[in-house]
Amino acid sequence: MTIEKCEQLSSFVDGELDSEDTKQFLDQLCNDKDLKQSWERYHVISDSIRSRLPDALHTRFSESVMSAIESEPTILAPTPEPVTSSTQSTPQNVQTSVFKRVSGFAIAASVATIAVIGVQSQNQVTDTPQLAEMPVDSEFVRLGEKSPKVAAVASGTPGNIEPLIVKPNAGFSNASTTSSVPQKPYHSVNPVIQFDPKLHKYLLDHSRNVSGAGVHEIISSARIVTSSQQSLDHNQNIGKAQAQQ
Amino acid sequence: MKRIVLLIQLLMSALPVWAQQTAEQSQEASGQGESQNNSLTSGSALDYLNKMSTALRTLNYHGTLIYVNDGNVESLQLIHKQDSDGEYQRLVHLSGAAREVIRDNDTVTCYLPDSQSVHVGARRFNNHLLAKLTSSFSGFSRQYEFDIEGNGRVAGREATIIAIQPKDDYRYGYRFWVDKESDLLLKSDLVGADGKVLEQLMFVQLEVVEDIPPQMLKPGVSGESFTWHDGSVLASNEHSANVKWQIKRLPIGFSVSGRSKQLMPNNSEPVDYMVVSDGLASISVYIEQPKSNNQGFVGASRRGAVNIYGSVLNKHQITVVGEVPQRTVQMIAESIVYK
Repeated sequence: MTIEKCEQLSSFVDGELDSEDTKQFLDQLCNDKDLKQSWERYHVISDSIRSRLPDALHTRFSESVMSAIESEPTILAPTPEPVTSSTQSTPQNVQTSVFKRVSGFAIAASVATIAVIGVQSQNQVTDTPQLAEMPVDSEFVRLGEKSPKVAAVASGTPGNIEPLIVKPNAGFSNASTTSSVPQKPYHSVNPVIQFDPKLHKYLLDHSRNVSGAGVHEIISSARIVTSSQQSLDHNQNIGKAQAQQ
Repeated sequence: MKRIVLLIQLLMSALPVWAQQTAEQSQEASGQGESQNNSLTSGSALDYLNKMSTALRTLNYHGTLIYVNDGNVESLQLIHKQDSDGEYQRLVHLSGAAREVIRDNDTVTCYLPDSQSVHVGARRFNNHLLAKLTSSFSGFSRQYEFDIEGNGRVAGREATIIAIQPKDDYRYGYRFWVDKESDLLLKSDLVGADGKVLEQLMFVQLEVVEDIPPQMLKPGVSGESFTWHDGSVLASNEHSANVKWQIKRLPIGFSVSGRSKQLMPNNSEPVDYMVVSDGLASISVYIEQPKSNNQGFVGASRRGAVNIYGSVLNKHQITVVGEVPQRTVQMIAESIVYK
């Protein structure tokens, strides 16, 4: 990659290119694999300087987002006219394709931003040492309780999220990072992601005490024999893994 | 013909009202019911539960179960015996650590070989549901709806499915498969608000027998070298239950059904214990003075269907545990006061 291109890329990432140059550069970016990878690296560097790095980096992120956009152009980047029999590049088609790609990148960038925010917010959840205290003053919990509507939106049901993101399609599964976006509020609403091993004795004692309550006692005995300090630790790890997804 | 049968089955499952009516009609045919109103269905559902409760207590049986909880599948073995001396039950974990729970009448002993410990104590309920259901069913029907949901097949046996649905968000629902032949419980679901099964217990093999040999009820480990924890109620006067701890807010239908002082593992000081129940679901409340270096637990936690909520009040650690939704344990934990 030439130095000129590097400089151009840097200016582009910093938003210093004028509209004509941006257009030109985006066209290059779409066609130049090296340039695309550099674009990704620049963003990672930029994020790291601003300490906004997620725990796990999804490499080839732009590629997976792009392939998703390519495979689902109808919602977010509608084709302005019906596709004619010719697949050759007429000037009009080139224009369309540039428009499609430019808008695609705009979307890719916004999705990337959302993803970064999503991952960051998740990190805040997982990194908070007093996680157990969260529900006490967590606004999310109270919101979720008081307003079912808020809870429904926040719990990340696919139906609510889908219109914002390109519909999952062939190739989109690669863009798994984006799926963390709807999951983020879910963890805030249900901050129950770890089981403190100290609580094991309460679980055990409760199950023994209330054996014979309810409809049948087998269930409370089953809770006792299937729970151990170890299995609780195990569950705790699962909880953490889920939070980091 | 097969298609028609399939279609009818589909319709039945799609329209529970239909299924219910058919169930009512079939009872009418067998002479158990006279009218077609709702209370009859709940009444018959109650009959099934009563018969099941009696069968579980009085028959001799053993079988293998699976227990599904948080996506984990565990296998268990159950042995139950009733004779002139009383009732015995043993439940053993079949894979991994051979943990087991043995009940000798009202004494429950938990052998935990993996943590080298044995926990002993008396259970606080004895056929609680049966007693409460028969004495005040109207009280129950304010919180739950009882229905016969249809028929099923579990462990090679034909079963009647009984559903208990909560009328608010403070408790879970239940579904029981009751053996048509022996009245024993074949399968049990604990159902969350969204209809999701939170916990499931299911026999894969069950045998009703004449007698259970005593060796089948002996623990697999002696527990002699283990640490024994006695969780019995402390009966002496100085350990009388502290009634100054009060729960200000309880979801409707729940009440404090017992108070005591007891010992907990890793705490030499007696713990104030309260048990809260609505007849089906039960909740334990522990109030204790933590050791100075012991960091308290504040907030929510969960294992399977059991939710736990911790809070701190007047330097006391409050821990509320129950097979109820998080909001219920949280409401109780946050509304405890010292008067």
